[in-house]
Amino acid sequence: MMWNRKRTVIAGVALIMGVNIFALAGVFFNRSGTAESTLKLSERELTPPRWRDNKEDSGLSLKISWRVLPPEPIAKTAPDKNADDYTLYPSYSGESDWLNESKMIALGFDPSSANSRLDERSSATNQKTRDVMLVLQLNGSAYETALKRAIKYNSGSKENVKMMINERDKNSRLFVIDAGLNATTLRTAYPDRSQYAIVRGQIRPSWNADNKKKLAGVVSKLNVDTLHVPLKLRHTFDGASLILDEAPAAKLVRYEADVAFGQRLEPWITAATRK
Amino acid sequence: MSINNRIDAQKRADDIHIFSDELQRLERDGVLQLDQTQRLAVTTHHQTLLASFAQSFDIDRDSQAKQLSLGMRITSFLGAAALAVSVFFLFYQFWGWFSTLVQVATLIAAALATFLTTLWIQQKDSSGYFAKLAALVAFACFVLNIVMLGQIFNITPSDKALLPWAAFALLLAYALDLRLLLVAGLLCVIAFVAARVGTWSGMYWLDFGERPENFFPAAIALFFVPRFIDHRRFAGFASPYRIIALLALFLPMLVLANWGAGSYLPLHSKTIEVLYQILGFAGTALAIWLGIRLHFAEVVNVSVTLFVIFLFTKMFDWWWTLMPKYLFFLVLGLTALLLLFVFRRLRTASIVQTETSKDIAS
Repeated sequence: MMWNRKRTVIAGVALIMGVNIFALAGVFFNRSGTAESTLKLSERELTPPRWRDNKEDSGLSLKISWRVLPPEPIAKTAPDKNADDYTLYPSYSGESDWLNESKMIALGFDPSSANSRLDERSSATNQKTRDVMLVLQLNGSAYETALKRAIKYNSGSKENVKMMINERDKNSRLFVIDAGLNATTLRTAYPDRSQYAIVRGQIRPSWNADNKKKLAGVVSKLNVDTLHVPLKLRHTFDGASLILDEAPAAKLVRYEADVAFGQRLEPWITAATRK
Repeated sequence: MSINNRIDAQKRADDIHIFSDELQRLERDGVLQLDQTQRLAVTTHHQTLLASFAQSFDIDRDSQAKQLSLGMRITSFLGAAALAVSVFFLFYQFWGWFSTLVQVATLIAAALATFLTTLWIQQKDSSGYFAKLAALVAFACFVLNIVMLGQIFNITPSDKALLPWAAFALLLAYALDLRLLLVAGLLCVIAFVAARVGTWSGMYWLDFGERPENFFPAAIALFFVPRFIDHRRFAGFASPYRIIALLALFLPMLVLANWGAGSYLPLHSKTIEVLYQILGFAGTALAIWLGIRLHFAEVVNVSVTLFVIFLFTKMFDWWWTLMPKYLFFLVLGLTALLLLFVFRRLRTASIVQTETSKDIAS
């Protein structure tokens, strides 16, 4: 077959149009039917990027701010200043009690290889990050526990009081509370679609802090953790503060957005209002 | 010799100039003397050829033109890179003020328009410099198209995006005779295959670089592509396949030779490092031998470079902390000299073998 200019044009146009149609078809499928879940996220869970002042980018994207509840043993440490402060820091990724060895085995990690490489470095890094399904809980038991800890371990120091106030008013209430390989199974366990969202994310192996021979895990990231704000909703987020750590709670721009998670578990903002 | 592209035309033009220079020398030395009719016939023939090459392929007719050509090539590449980057920033500057429909339409239109413009420029521009510039911009627009669609609709990042990028780059490369886009396409192919291999082993696709062995299958496959697909119509296209294949094979080996923990192999890290050091030395030596046998100059050059890098990193491991610095670099220099002697002997042996083969053939 002789290749000529006409075939080049056809091939190129077909490739460009084909890829775009394929991508948009996927978007249409994701947003078709009833959403898999819909969460009402506030400025605490949807934060503007820190480089918002970048004049080179006119688009606006919001970051999904999620957390994990760290293991209780840290909070059980005899009260001293360092332990209290450590307990009160919001843990934005890391280990959690539910991500234990049996959970890691269920996710496909191999506990036996944790000891197979006799290096000085962590033996758990022998295995790499895996793609899994994560369960996000909004303003549920995990957040209540985090708030109770902040009150319980508030030693009265200026730093602790500030952290307690942050936990009550500013920190994200969205927690990763479970993981699995099958979205249907997870949805059966967490049926409330207005409080629990199932998303794709990554877990990497670690080792148990108390017992280095036991496999543990760390939730490292969500596959989609940034949401583009369409033009029609931009006005809701005008003036949103970047530096939440430094901005007093009273001066925060407050808003609430309905975030839907579709058939492919990809999110998008359906509505947004100022509070 | 049929002339299908600029490289062939330039080579023919260079041969004509070399022939003219040698003929003058032979006449000066009294070895050969053409009569007036013969000289006129040869000169007319060559001038006709050179004129047609200049018109069809915009070749360099003399050394000054060649030097300018090199400058034009560098300028073309830098200009193309700058324009490609400006396309990204231009879109980022304004896209936030467009509705979703306009954003998507702009992205698709930009990719289509730049692609069609590239083909139109290729028809008008025999030199190929402007077509190369336009092709890079078209590729940048297509990459931007897919990336921004992902961002606008919060699509999960996927290695599958590498496939259409590879296909587009290869289409432009073969249609416009552009080796730069061939390299871009091959890199996308390698990245996709490595990501897939990583996924099959259970890891997240974006982490494929954390297991250097993921690159091996693609590297081995690419090396043999020119053997199975005829590239005679595309002068200079077979070399990038081999060069990129060698780099994709031996650079990960070099990493593993110093970082055994990144391997899939269930062995002690030190064992893995020794294993890959041996494989690296043996592999590059084998590639040098293969390159000499099959007359692949680029294979020899790249393999020699990699062999020396393996050797020098090993010497660094052994002696950097043990020796004073002046002695360490002296040993490096002497090693380089030794290698030069070895390669010169190999080269002499190769020349002798070639001349012996020619004698037997004649």
